[in-house]
Amino acid sequence: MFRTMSSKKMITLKSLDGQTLEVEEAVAKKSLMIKNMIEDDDVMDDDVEDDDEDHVVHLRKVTHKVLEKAMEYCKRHVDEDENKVVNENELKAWDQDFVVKTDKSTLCNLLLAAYYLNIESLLLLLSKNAFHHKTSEGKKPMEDMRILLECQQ
Amino acid sequence: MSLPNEIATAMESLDQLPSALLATILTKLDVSSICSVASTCTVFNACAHHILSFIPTFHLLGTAPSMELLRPLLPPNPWMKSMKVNCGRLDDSAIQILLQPSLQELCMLNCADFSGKLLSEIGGRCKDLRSLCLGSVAEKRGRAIHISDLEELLSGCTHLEALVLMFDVSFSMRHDFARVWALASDKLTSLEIGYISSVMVTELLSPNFEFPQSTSRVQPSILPNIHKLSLSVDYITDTMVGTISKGLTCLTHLDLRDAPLIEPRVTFDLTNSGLQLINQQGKLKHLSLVRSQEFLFTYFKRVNDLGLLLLADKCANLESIFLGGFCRVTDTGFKTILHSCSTLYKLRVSHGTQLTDLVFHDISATSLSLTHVSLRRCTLLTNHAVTNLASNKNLKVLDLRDCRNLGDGALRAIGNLHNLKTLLLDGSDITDMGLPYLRPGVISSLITLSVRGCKKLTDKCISALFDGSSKLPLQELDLSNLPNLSDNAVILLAKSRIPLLELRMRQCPLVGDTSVVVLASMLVDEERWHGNSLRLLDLFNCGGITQRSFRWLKKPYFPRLRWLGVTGCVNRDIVDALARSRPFLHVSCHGEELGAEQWDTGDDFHMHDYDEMDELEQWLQEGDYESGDEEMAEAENVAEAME
Repeated sequence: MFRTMSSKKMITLKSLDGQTLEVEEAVAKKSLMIKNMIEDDDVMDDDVEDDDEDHVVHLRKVTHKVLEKAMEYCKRHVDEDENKVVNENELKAWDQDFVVKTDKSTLCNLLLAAYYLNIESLLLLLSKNAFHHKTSEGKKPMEDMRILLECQQ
Repeated sequence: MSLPNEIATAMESLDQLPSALLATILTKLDVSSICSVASTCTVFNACAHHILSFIPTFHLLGTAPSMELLRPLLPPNPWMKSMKVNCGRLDDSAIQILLQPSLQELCMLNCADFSGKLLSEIGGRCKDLRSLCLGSVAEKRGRAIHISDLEELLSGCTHLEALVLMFDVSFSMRHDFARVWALASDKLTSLEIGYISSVMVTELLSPNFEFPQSTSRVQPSILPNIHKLSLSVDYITDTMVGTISKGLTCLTHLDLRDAPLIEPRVTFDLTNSGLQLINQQGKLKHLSLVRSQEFLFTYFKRVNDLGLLLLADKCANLESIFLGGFCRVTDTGFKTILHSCSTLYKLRVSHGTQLTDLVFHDISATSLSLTHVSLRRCTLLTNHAVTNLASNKNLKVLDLRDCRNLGDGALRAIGNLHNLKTLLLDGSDITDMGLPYLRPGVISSLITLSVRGCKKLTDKCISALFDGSSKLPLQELDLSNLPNLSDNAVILLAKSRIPLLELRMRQCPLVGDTSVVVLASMLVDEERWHGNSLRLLDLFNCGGITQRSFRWLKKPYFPRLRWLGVTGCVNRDIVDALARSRPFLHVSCHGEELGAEQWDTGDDFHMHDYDEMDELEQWLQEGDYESGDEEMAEAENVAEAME
């Protein structure tokens, strides 16, 4: 049986609310959790004839909206894995833009999603920016560490 | 960790996140961010305290914490691998909490209040150390280091690979010195010393190749595996250079800097013969020989083109070279270096008073791909040289400070360098008309730009450089010593909304309170920051700064400011009050340069006024050559006799 090698194999992601999202396999595999799920399936389905059938990955804890956002990030960063040349400045600017456009509540959910789906670089990016939202609520950034002591006592 | 069943919009705020996730997030932040987050609410506070007992990295160099502040941040932590602390406010009592036994990398700066006990305690407690950097240990009066402290350090840290001691290590009797350094770990490959006399260096390394006459016991090799050596000495001498070359056979990086107190005599100086001795095995990849004018106007009088020719002979593998104070070398010498070192990517010359455009005339014919070029105080250079240099499209750093004859033509050539990250044009002849050449190619990749002392520039230079695009990566801008720069320029700068981290406007007579007000109210990004991103602001000696400005330097304005330069005579009380109300702000009133990192380490030790000619140049022009020539001839005779 010949395997049809399509250069861009698509994966279907099914979210909590039943909606589906189609992404390239390489993009989806940025999430280590999805990657493991696909590879486990591959092992199990070794003897299945029809290799063209798209994998469907069920993500029962993530809503469609958050999943879309996460995949948007993965899509932009997929080149890094394939060792293609990346323009660092542009990528950084895009990352900052991405974070700024995310509102506070989506940010929390996106953090949880990044943790759950195990997307290390997204988790890092969000971590570094998470508290800017927090401190912009009128609290002064870089408070005296003296206050840290006061909280302790 | 139990995830909520729905990662849905129920999550309104971060402190509702599961604690394991919060901990993960906090571990990705640096220490100062962790502290500021911890102070916002009890949930984060608890989380921060929890993670402080297992974070692997503790870096706190920007501010100097006191003991009370530091103590709660450093519980015993068996996972701590890397620590970097500014110890400006600490002393021996901090040793207990700082020296965690699991450390592999330790960097402590500004340790003036510590005694030599610090060294011995490191040797005793941090046995796993791979990399150690200590700055200014025991420099305060009344503190002392003893040779036994160094001995305990070197014999205790048996895995040490890199050692940096940025202070004077000549605190012992010389015969003890070699014995102690013989105890250093075999794995030591990189050594940097803040100050040591050249005689001590010679005596230290001589045992490596001289056979002991009286004893039959084989002398152990001192520092046998050193690849990188960086020393600041009193005089670079032929003897010392020869000893280093012969004694350290694995050397790939050699960095020597001296600062003579008196005019060196022929036996205590670097001559052409010395240059012949360097790099005997041809293994050197990086070479730096600099004579600094810290105490005396002097240069390498006994080195001329012949010396460089002899040096270039063995330098086929050289990747980086820095020659400072070689005022007798002409184009021939420099050109030979360029043509002999086919893998060269970093070229730095300082005080190249006889270096002209001819050196770079046919640089495009070589296969060189230079990435860092620094030609400081090479006053004979003109735009032609820059045009030729610009054929190196991979240039990342271009430092042409004090090359007075460079003008807009140079800027046109520089406009083709789209990978440029650092551009320093201090003291050049550029005008507002030349700056648009940097758009759009160069300005969209530049991170550091300095036009200090380019007297022809006016307010228009800002609009010439920045056409309203705020997505520029520029972080550091130096507009000091510009007599025509006024508040209007700062208004334009603020409007451009570039998220600058460092802004220097020293000695600009027309810059005043309005600039401070404008900068304070600068909104870099309305959605996220309330206040601008400046970490460093230098307004030393700006004509229009009055007490009014200080109202705008208080919190909550300039929330990220760490360094501030003002003129102390404005009102001492106000300045002191500001410094007290902002304990993490370093206020400087005496005109010293600000910032933890400078572009180059001390090529000049005096402030530039740009009104007079460089004093060294003046002195050179007055013709000190007569007395030098005799010695020069003598040195050449000696060199000939040796061949």
